Amino acid sequence: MGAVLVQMDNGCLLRLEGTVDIASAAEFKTLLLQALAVGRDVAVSLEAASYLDVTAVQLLWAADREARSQGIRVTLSGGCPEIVRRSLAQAGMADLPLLNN
Amino acid sequence: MNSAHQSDQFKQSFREEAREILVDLESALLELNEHPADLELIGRTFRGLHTIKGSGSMFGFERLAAFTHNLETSFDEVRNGRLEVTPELIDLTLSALDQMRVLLEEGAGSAAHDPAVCQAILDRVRKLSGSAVVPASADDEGSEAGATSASSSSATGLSAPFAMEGQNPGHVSGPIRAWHIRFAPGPEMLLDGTDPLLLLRELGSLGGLSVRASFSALPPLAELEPERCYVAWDLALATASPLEAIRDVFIFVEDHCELGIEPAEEPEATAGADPARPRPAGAAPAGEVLARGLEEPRSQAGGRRNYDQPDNATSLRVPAAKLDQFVDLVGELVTVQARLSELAARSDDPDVAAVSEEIERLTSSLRENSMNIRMLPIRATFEKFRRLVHDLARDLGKDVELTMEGADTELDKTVIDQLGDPLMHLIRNSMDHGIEPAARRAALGKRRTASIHLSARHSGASVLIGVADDGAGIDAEAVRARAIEKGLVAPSAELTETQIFGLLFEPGFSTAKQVTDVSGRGVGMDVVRQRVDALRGTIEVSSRPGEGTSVTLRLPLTLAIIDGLLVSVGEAFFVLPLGSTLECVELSRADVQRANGKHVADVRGELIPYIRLREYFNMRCQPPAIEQVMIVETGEGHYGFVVDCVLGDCQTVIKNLGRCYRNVQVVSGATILGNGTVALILDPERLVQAVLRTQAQRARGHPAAQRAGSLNQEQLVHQANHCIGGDGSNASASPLAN
Repeated sequence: MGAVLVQMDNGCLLRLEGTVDIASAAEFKTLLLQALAVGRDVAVSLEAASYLDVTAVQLLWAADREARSQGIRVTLSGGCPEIVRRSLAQAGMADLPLLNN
Repeated sequence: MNSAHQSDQFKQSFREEAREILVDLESALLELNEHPADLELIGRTFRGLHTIKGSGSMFGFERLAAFTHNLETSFDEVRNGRLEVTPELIDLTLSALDQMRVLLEEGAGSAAHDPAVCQAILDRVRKLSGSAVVPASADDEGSEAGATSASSSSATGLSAPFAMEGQNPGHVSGPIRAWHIRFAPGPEMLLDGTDPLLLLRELGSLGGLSVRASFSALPPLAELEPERCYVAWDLALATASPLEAIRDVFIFVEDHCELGIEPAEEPEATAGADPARPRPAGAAPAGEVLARGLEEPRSQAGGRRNYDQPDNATSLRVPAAKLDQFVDLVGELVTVQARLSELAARSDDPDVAAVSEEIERLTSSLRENSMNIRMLPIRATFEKFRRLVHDLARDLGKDVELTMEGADTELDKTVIDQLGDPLMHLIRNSMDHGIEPAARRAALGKRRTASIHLSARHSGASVLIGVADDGAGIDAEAVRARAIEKGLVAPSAELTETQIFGLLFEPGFSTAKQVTDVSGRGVGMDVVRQRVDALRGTIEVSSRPGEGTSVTLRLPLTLAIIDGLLVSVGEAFFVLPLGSTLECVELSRADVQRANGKHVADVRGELIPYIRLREYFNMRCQPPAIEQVMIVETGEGHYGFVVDCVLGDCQTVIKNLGRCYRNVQVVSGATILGNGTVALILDPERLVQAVLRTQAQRARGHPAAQRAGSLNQEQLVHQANHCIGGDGSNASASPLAN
């Protein structure tokens, strides 16, 4: 997995790469908390991601709620690969706020 | 946690579980061979194959999963009544199980599988079932999950991990039914290595599936445990597959999730209809059904477990080594407790005595419990011989059935582990030499199908394991003649039947005129005796010509504890196994004089030879005026052991003496007494044999026998102290060591 947090002028960019699953869940949560702590919108890039498991999706979902409660947003930067979108749809998670923000 | 390490752990857990399933599968198949219409056995076989396939795929055993998938498909055909259970299918599946074992172990340093053998088996499966076979040489370990959609899975190759999951609904005949499934993974499911999304994909391969995830249980991000699953799913499935097939998808996670499967209020349609067709008027749309389901709290979802309640798992898997360590520690505790009891007995303080008694009670209970944990039913050992009997019967062209009795009899795992080889040799010997070919049996007026009967039952502190056949029996005269020919007995020797049958277990002894692949080299029976001796057991053989042979192994229930009789000679202590001790009689100097120096005691008119432990162990202390003779039953008849004093019975934890005692067979172990003294545990059987051997050598003027044929007890105890004391603490506590 790869999850890279990049500080931008207008917030943070969290770039996900490859398979994002339980093996990296703890690290992913830490990065999300760090990004939200900045207090600005968080952009998430899925362009290099190939698979998100349940742990990754529920972290993104919880991050979205947290952001809304702070008055900021978690947004998708760039597109979502078809393979990721399709597997989320198969899992009944196509309405993940990140994909619809 | 390191994910690679975690993955290895999962793989190892899967291997252990799969080995057990393979044993069960083998047993089910062999039973199925006898009862080919038994639906329960067919279902058991299918579920076993399905579990190995599903779990194997999940834990990265793709080749195993792909290979097993084909077998599972065949048994699905059997389950649906489209394929008949025949001896050929059973043989083929048994061969396939062998390959599954190879595939299971090949990542753990074992030899790699032979793709040609696997493919040959699958080709024969295809011929039998007439189904398309997924190639056995799939190699996609490490490929990314999620690369294939459920809808296309059954059409693609095995390069994607779950491409072979499930069955194409178009292949299943019968009405399509709609199901409402509520699936809420338990919090630990992800940690167990299960990805719920892959289960959904497998479910999707059964038919048309609508999926909706619920995140209502998701806590705030800061409180969220990242490796725990908070998501639940409500699913609507339209499939022609039966309820059992839906359950099978969840078969290896059903104890780790809440699962509810209910028929939806959906009219039936015929096979081949579009599962995603519009719903008839009046039927609730899937979305509404799902929405209703999601409003219900998880705990009321009709699931199997409530994860808000404490874990109600009924069993744990614990490595045997940890258990051994635990039992060793309990053994140490027993030793220390005995010392405490002795100190308390010397103290005048009633409080100390009360605490000591309480600790004694608890220790006794702890010891009993720890021993019980290691007790296992012998069933698994018995069951694995079904395959042996099946294969040998086929190879030898004989018709044999295996029956069992008392398979739930429990004995120590250590004993069970060492019982496999002796039983295998006994069964092979029976099959090869004892049981006649069917035609010969028919000519003799016997049932064409011969029988091998395995039995187990408790008898006091022992367990009796029997291997009986209804074959030709043993010709005692032929055994005797062969023994004379081999120089094992003198031609003039008068032997009882027991002694003659005992010759069968001599090294290299065989009456077989022909050496076969199965037996006849005279090795097997020798191995049986060695193993049984090592287990402190005995062998009894009874046979009737023309009617059959029965071999009974008498084994201790456990090797960790012995019920013994504590005796002393001078300042030394010995333990004699209580099970073989018959009685104790006094031996005065007058008795010795009356016997004219012969080592025999007159016990109610019966002359019983005895061995003086003082002499055997070269102890120089003076004997008391009246000594005690412990009369013990051995394979050589009744023998006496002369000691100074009988201190009473004791249940002692046996300490292994390790390599330094490897060649001292008359001592089977040692134990530490309450005062810290080491007592040697004697093996009366071997002691008598050693003395008889020495006497025979002396009679022949053998030089080794002139060196006394005895042991130095002080030296032995000194060595024992070092062996079992470890850090020397016990050694220094023993006066004998000084």
